Amino acid sequence: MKNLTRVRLAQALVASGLVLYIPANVIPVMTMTVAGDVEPLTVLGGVQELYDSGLWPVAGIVFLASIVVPFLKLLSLSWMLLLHGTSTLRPHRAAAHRIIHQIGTWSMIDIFLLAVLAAVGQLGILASVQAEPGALFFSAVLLCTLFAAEVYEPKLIWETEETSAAK
Amino acid sequence: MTEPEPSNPPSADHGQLVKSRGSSAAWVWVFPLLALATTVWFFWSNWKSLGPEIEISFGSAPGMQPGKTVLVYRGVTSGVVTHVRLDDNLKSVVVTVRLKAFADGIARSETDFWIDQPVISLTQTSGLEALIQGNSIQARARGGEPQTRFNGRSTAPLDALESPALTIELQADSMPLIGRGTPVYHRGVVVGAVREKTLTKDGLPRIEVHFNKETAGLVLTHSRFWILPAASLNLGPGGASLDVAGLAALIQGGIAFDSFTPGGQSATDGTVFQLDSNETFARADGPILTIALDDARGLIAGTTRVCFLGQPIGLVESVNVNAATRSVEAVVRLESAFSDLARASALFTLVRPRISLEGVSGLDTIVTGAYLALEPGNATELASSFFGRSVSNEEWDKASANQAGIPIKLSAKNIPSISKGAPVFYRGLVAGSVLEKALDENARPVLRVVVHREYANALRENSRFWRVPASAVSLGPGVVKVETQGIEALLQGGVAFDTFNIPAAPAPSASVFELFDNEALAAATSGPIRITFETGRGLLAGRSELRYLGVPVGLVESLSTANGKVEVTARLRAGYEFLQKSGSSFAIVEPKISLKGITGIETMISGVYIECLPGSGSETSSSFVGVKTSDPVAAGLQGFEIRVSAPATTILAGAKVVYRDLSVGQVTAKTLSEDGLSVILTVLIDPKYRRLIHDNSRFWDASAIEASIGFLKLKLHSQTLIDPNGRIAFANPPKPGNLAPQGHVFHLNPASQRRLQSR
Repeated sequence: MKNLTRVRLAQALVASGLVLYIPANVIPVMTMTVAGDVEPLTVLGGVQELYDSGLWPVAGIVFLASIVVPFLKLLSLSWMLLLHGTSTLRPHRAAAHRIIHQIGTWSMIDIFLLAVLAAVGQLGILASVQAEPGALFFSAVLLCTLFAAEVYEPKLIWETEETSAAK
Repeated sequence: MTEPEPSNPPSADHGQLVKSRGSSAAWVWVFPLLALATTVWFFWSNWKSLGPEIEISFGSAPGMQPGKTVLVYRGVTSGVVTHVRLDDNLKSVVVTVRLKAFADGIARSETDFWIDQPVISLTQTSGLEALIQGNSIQARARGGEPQTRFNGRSTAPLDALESPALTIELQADSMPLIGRGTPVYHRGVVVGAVREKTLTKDGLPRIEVHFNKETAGLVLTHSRFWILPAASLNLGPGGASLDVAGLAALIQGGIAFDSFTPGGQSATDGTVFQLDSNETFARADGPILTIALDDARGLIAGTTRVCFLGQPIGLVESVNVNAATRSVEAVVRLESAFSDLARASALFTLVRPRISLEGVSGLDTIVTGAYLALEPGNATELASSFFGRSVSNEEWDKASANQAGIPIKLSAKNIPSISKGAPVFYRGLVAGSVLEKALDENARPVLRVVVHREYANALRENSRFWRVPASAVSLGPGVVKVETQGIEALLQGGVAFDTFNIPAAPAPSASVFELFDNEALAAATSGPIRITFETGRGLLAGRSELRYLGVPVGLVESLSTANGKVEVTARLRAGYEFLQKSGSSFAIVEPKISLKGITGIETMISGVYIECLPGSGSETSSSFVGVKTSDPVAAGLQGFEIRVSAPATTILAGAKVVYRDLSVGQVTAKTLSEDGLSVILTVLIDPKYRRLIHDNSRFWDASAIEASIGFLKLKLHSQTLIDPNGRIAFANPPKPGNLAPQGHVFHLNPASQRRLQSR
């Protein structure tokens, strides 16, 4: 794949991620039914719920993992791609890319947890968890960031107009 | 390969950097476009699934949660509550519901909304899912114009799916046990239900009954509704049966309806029907008839039936008492099928249970209650007002037959326990009846009695009447006998008559007889005889008997005291007049218990009686002097009389007189001599021992304890323990003198002179 294609692809994926980030946070990701009490939860609503039930450390982790991290990933990827081809802050970008790459290993954990919950949490009428369309959008956002980070190789950070043209 | 390939000329172009600008990577923008399209589609479809927003106001809205509480229509979630608020004047709760797009048809003016809450009661369990899922709003659509503001119902309708096709109203004076949900039966099938129970403006209960469209056609304009009893106990000749209509009916009651006359049109919404208290009531839907009765005992409004040929065809609806005319007016309705029986000639008879002279009539009415028997008669025109009677024809006939008998009067000192209609028995047969109890001109109670013609021969001028007790207990030695004259006598008392003497001429009408207290009194037909006794202890007027050889021959009629003595007036039965001869003796026999023996034991049960012994005189006497004895034989003891005198003695009347320890006579009296210096014992010696009494016979008192001290021997003789009256012994010297004459006086020697005298 040409370097330019990679950059364009990464850019397109980040753009898609940004678009999908809105429904992912607006549409409920799951519906919890506890003792007949049907409760559709968005990501933020889930955090709120956890916080309200006094589990604020968990709430903090979920908040970080599900809201802050994807958002920061999208943001830093956008920043990286915007500065592509320029020489500004190249070492910082490389560092950021490294961090993103490492975090990316864990980024699907929310979806994994939701999948496990939805599979296990089927206690009939007493309690059940169901995945909602929001989860699809959410995982799509994560996939976009994952692939964008993967497609945009770190060496491309160091590429200039000349080097890319030289290829 | 015939055609050589065109050979490419060696390129002079050594390469030129051509920038492939963007065109090769343009496809990547499919991703953002796809994402955008998906997002837009998702939001658009979401928006599209939303229907109109409606507002429903409820009096109270428990369990409403915005965003969670759903609106359910036919079990399908059709909307979500988005907002709950109170209205401006805090009178109601306004719930805003966002309907789903497919459910916008619910937002019509006729739709009912109610809050589904769990209801668990004996009769109904509903809304159980609300226990788990929380309350929901339920809807039942009925069409109408589109609308967005609704008033919710406070209660759930009976049928959540279908609205009723027919709503009618029932009214009654009272309708217990009937309430919301009470089923309405048509020939045993539930076809409707009571929806509402309210009071009308005039305070009468009113219920609203709903029918769905399958069953609405069953209700006709002339249908009759009645309350089904939850349980009914039927008593009849066939036994008793208890019907329980089922547990639901026990709790909820039930209403049934039917149309008893053919034809008719379907009822329309809001028709008002009367709710009758039972089926009989409902069936009697003919024209109203009024029956005037002068005695309406046993007539019960709403219960008493009108029977024709024994079958119920109508019902007494109400009974009105007219105080002015002293009559009772029964309002009666016949079943419409029989309404043509209400002819002008119809005869209504109130039949009641009656236990009377010759049997029991109307016994079935004891169980079923009185009824009105209808005799339609021959007239053709109908009438609506009748006069009723309170006895049946049969009894009227009997009453007139009574009038045709021989009327007589019975007078007595008192007449307890005999009522009007009581039977008159002749030797166990019912020969007549008591017409009435009255007082004659002398203020003595009089029974007016009629004796049937058939018994005219039995009723003689010298017949005797007596009261028949309801039951009599006779006690005799070893026998207890209870007599009952049958149930009629038991209830009403009775009178019996018989002729004990030679029958005289048949009694004419209106003769007056005396009523005796019992048969024994009546049977004692002789003239009164008077017997004087020292004491009358144990004698009872009207009870104590006169006996001859143990057989009852008469009865003590009365007791009176005269000159310190008791005068007994007694009568003898026919055939025993010979006991009235002069010289007859009469002795009171009473029980006596001593060491030697018990006499007169039978009197302990039968009471004291008077033993009679006929005298030998030829003329008839009516006045006698009686004796008192414990020994019935002694009363009639006849013998050779002598006297024994002593200065003083413990010997009493009744003491035995013994000769060589053989009883030969008895002391019959103990009197004081005329000069008062000695005691005279009158001794009666059995005639067969007459020859033992010589003028030199020696008498001594043998009752004292005697002791003889012999050689090393102490001997005690005592007879007093055996004979409490004492005893007299006598012996004759070796050379007896002449036989003593009657009334000879002997001297009584003390016991200590026995040996001397006996020598």
